[in-house]
Amino acid sequence: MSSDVDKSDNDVITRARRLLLLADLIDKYPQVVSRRVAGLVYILIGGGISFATLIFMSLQDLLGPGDPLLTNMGFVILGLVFSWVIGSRLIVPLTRSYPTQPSESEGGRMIYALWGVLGTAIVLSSLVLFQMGLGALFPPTLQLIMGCGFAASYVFGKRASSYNFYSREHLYFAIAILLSTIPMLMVPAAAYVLLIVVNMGGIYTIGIHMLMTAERLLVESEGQG
Amino acid sequence: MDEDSETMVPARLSVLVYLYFARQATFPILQKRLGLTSGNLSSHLKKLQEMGLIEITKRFVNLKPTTLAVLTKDGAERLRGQMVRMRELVSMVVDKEPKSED
Repeated sequence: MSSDVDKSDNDVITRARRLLLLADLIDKYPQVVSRRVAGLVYILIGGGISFATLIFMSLQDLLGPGDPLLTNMGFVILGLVFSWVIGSRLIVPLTRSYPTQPSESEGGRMIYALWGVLGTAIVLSSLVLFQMGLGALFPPTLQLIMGCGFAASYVFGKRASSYNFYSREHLYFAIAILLSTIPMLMVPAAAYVLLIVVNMGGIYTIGIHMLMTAERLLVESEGQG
Repeated sequence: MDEDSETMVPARLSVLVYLYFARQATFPILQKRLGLTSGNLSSHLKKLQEMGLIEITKRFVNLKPTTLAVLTKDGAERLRGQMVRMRELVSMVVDKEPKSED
């Protein structure tokens, strides 16, 4: 009789543990979706910029060299608009059902504010440097700003629990970006090539890595409960 | 927990959990995966729709009309909140028990 009761208790405990695991998976799943979405956004930004660069370079060949600042600004803006239009069509249905509140957390708000400030700094520095005829300094300046931005994203990401899954990629990317300023300053002629290789390569790598590792969050939750 | 009583019905909870991970599902898929009769599933879907937790639409798949259930944002939030509350309650009991051999 006693063994029957023990067996029944064990069954209840086993079921309760399964329920805890299910609750963990449900709790964490929006983060998996967010990570997938973030990965897609990175790939779309990289893809959009690559596509726009290709179009503009072809146009430049056809129409002759124009204003480099306007050309650069043009392809970046066009690339981003293109990415976001396609991205929103692909991504919005993914996020529609899941409760995510990254913007409500302190770290989330700080990251948005930070990138707003850094975006303005990039535009202003490009205007100032090209107006002063110091265009060669633009790539390392851009790298410094972006490196600081990604390093700060890592720091804020560690503070905001809902952003913890962004952290490590951002740190590695920040280090790669900041290190790339050294060869840029040593060989200014290769600065734009380095900029494209490091930044575009980094954006694609982050995107693919985020997509591939999104489910790891669910595996981590198996240890709980 | 009173507000959870309507969704704590096992069949409704399993529909919500399935839709939470799958985002959307057709009626035959839900019926097959959850092992419910069509009348039973139909009544639970209707109730969940009335509660605003899922959206039901009709679509033609291979020229046949098919019912499609999609979890709403309210539904996802409700399920998540409910499961988190349940986890707190259950973990209090489980934590007192010695770890079983599973």
